[in-house]
Amino acid sequence: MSTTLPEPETEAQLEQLPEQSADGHPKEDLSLLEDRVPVEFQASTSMVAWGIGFGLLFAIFSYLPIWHTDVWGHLAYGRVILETGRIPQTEPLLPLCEGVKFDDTAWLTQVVTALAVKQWGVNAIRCLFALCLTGSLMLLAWRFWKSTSNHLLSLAGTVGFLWAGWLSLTIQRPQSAGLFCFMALFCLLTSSKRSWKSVLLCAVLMAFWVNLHGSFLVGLGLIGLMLFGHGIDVYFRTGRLDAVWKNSQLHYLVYCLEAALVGCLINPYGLGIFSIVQEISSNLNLRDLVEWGPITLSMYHGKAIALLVLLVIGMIRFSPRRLKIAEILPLTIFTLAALSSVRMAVWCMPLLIWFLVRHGNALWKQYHLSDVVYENGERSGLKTVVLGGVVWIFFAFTPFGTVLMHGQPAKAEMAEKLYRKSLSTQTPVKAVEYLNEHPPQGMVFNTYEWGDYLLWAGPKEMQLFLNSHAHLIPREVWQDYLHTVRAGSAWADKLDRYGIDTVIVDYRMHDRLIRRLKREGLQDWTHDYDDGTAAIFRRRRPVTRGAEPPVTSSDSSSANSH
Amino acid sequence: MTSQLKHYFWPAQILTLIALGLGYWMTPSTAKVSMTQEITGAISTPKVELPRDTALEMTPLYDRPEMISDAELARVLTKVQPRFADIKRRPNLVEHALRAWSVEATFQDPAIMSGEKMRDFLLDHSNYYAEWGDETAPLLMDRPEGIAIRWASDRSASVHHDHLLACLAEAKVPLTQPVYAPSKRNMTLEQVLLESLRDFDPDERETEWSALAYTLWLAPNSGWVDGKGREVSFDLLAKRLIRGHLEKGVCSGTHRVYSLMVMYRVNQEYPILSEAMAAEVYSHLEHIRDLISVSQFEDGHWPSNWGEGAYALENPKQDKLSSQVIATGHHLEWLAIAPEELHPPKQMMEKAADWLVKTTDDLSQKQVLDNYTFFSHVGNALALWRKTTPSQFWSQWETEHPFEPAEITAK
Repeated sequence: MSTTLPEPETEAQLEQLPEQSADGHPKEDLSLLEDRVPVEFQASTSMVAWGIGFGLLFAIFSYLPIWHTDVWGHLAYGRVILETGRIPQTEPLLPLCEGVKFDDTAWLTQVVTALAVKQWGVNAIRCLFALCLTGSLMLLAWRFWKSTSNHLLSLAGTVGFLWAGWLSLTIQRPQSAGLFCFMALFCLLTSSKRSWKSVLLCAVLMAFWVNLHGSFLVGLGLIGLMLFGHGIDVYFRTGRLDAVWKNSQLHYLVYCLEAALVGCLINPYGLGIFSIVQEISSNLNLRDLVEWGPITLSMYHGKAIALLVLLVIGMIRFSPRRLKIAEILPLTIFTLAALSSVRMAVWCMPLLIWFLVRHGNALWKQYHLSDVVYENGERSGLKTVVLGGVVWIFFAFTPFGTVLMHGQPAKAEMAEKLYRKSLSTQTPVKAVEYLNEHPPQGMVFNTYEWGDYLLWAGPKEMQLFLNSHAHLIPREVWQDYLHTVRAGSAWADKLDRYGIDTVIVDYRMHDRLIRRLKREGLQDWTHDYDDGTAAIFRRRRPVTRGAEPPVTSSDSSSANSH
Repeated sequence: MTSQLKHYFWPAQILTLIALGLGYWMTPSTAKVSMTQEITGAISTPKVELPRDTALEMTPLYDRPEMISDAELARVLTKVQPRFADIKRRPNLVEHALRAWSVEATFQDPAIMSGEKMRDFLLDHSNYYAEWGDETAPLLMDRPEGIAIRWASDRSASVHHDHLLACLAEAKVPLTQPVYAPSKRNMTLEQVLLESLRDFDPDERETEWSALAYTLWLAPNSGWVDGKGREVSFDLLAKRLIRGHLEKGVCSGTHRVYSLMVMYRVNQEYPILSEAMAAEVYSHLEHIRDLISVSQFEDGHWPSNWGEGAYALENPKQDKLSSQVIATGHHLEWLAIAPEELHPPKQMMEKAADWLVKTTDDLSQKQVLDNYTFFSHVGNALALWRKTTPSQFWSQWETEHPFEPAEITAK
């Protein structure tokens, strides 16, 4: 940039010159505003554009209805921890799990969410979830951009991740907090800035992650694989083991791994957390669940991963960039893990896309495609203000923002309406209302998917059969549940044996049991309630002594419709 | 950072090791156990002390000669003697006989298995093998940490989980009793009990016998941690015995009642149940008393659907005789060890005893042997109502009425 002013050539130009002071320096033009925002806080046009994009995503995520499964169970456990002031040692809520060891790998998420819900209502769940997911995407986008300086590829990579992981990402659960930690760790590990601060941050991050969600092992695995891969890279490049030993990046990764390990020790179970996670993930009950089973091509995740893998293979063929074991190894191991378990899919996707973005950028440069994608524009304080405004507007329009600014609706009717709108359509809100009005006595047979919501919102003394924390359910009970809910031949015997006096089942997944109860069970059961989503049956002659006699009805048509 | 990294490498390693050591030190003991298990693949031993060698005995409370005379009892017991042909004897029958007659039983008739012989048939694989050979899997199964009992519905197995263990407890076989499995020859009954504790699942279909054996052997322990890290307590076992339809358990649900009664009795001496649970058990037993008080048939038998109370009488079920014997014999058995407050009217029990004696008298020895398991309970129940046991009574009876070989051939 030039530091000298051009000489005035005309009078008009001369008039336009700033007035000079006595010492010959130009006088300050007080009509112009000086940008007093510190340079590091000044935003560029591209930052504003990214801000609008993420603000929009945050708003969209904030409007996603709360899923009807495990999040409610986590809240219920969080509530127990808050009430008792400690993590229970044995399962505290389900009678059939009495005495079962309760190793809580998500206690911090549960407590934070339960506190937030207590303070601001259920929309706090949506806000926390939106924060985690948007934050994860921002970190990923930032990492892409820092590595490539290519806005278009960074955008494509971020959108690609969102598309590929949509089904896993959009369910509110503690895993979202784990995902945020994963992205942060990924940024630390792949950053070219390697400092003690980063190592310390790694420890702090893992200390949070280990208490937020059991997925922290994924983080340790990532560091370990990158370390191992990098060691091989250095050895292949130099052919000397001492070069591996002296390599600074390798040292950095060793420190990160050690810091992460130490960070992981800060949890209620100490070193035992590793065996706890192993125990949970190898629990036999989980094998009966689709999300813990292997991925197939008929699944959305399966198709997404297949496409990404094909793209990676194509990229390997055409990329001018040198392949590194340090990036191929974690990618391969994580993808193989995803093939064996759907739940691993969300962790391998960022690595696949990271690979595509980096090598895509190399291709972009090789073919001298447009340079526009690399430009950021001038930074200014005004743009920071615009960015802040945009973020505020998006926040203000979210359900949580509305509650925060205007409080809960004054009218109970409106509050109820808003509450229902914030839940997924499969949430048995009306059925739970009915159960609260007519509390069941004795054991209640419920579906796995609804156990959590029933625990959270149903009558406090209700004795539920199970919830979606399948690893806590004794194997025998779990197998009996599966037999009954699939309306197996001994369904009635199982209900008798467990002393079930009430059955609540959903139409969407388990209408077969409803049909059998209506067709074959009417001698023993009354069809008490039906709203098209849920059906509730009660035993005519309750097994539990003192149980309320059921509402008299002779056939299914007598069910209370809601 | 490169120079810093080289400089601090070893201190960093030492710090990490210290942190890991501290982490291990601060790890809760339960987590340490599961960690060790995960790493070594070892099977954990249930954490429970075995306070006694011989199981607690449920002493009978009443001597009612007006209900059952010596002669009647002798007639019944003659028919329920373990007169099993010595080829492919069914463990289930031997278990029932051992339980009723105890390990102390001796008979002047050499064709009848003594208590010790029954015990040795069940606890020494060579005896079992001599009769069953390779045709079936062993009754005693070698496990890495102990010996398990094979239970299944086939004739060569013990039919119910932990039935054999409960029978041994009631038969007064001590935990120091040697047990000879196919390959493990240095085991004792204690290892069988520990294996059962390791293997036990409070959610399995039949917990009656596990609960009974544990109550008699483990009191005053009120709970323990099983092989899967689950805290099992007698409260939990009592809940399992109470839940569900009353007649859904084995033998029309009467074994559950018997086990609950034993728990309640033991709890009076050794508090194995919480106060609330003890009250619940008592209330449940009261409920059963009320149900059987209104479900007895005129002739004195109880139906298999006794749990339906008066409804069972109003809507009679087409029960087989064996089902009636099961219900009546088993009810009379638990009532013999129950406090009087839990009894139905006295006349009802007298009628039940009369019906059992008459029914046994009416059946031939072979018919009784064909339904031996049910009738062994009848014999035991009637002996208990005379404040004795079958073996004690028979020992006394044989001194006064010595065995004559012709007696058997005549029958």
